[in-house]
Amino acid sequence: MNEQQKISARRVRFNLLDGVIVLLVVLCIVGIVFRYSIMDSLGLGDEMAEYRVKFSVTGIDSTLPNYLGEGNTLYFADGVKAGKLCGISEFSLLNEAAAGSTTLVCRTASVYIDDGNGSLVLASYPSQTKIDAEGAFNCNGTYGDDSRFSIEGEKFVSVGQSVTVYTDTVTLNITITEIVPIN
Amino acid sequence: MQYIKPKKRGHDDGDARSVRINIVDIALIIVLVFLVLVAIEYFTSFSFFGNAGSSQTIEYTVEFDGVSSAMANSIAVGDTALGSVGTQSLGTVSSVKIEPQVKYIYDPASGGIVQRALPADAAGNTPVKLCVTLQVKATYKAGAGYTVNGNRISVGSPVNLSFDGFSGGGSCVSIYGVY
Repeated sequence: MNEQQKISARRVRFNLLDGVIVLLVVLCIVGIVFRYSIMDSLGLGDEMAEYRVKFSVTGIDSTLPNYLGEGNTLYFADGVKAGKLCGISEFSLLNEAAAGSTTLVCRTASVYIDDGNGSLVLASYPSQTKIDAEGAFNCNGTYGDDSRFSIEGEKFVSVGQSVTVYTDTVTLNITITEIVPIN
Repeated sequence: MQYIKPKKRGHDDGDARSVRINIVDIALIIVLVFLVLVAIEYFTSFSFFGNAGSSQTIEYTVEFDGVSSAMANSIAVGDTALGSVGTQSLGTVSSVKIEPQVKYIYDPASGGIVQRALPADAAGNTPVKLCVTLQVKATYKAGAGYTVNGNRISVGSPVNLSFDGFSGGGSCVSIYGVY
């Protein structure tokens, strides 16, 4: 074999498969650069921070709080993770005995009802029947440029909104009462 | 004597355009496919690596309001409860509890809401509150909870059950794992 043939034999052959691989690697690098630099400058990548979302529930069975535990993961009805349920010490000054639960501040349920004389009165249910409660969960979220708060950048929620959330054992309809950053 | 020129190793005759895949290409492809799968697993709700869940026997209690006493008495321990579609079992009755149906009304004397039992109707039937506890083998999966034949069972959620003598919608009030 002469020198020219030897050089030909040693030449690196660039084929279609190598081209596809190089293209995929370049796309991955571009994606990473886009995610961590250009997205932020375009305002598309708002930083997530920890927030505490406080909520209330009304008219639930008095035994329901027994099935909730501190640290339970909450999910929205569509399966999106909402956050982790707080213990009462994280959002309330009450202790477990006063609150009636480790995760919810419970009180006897009360409703506005007609007293028969045309007036509305706030009446309470008998004890150990129905309760109203407050709770909270911690989540990662961010406020967008439109001042809307989103959890994990996926789920938009706002104060006053009623949503269905669930843990592994409980399904709850909650009303969001406050969204505060966790320092 | 014929001299046959030996074929040189690595020398291809007329095969210059063939695609050659070597071990490095295969390794790169595996790494890239793995990175794509991890990205899909992490950034989307789709899961390649999610497990099918574990099987666990549970007992759950469903409360039905305003059930006629005759229908309530037709349910017995050992009966099979079917789903609303009527073909899939949602458990076997392990206990039945029948209580007088109460209604919450405002009592001006006490200023609060009190329980009052419903009176019998014209035929003498009194509606009752039926509490049925069922035992079933459920699938537990973190993030989805307990499911029985595709039906999610959780405290506070509605449950539709069918028995031989009764069919109705109730609310799950308790759930326990049976060990």
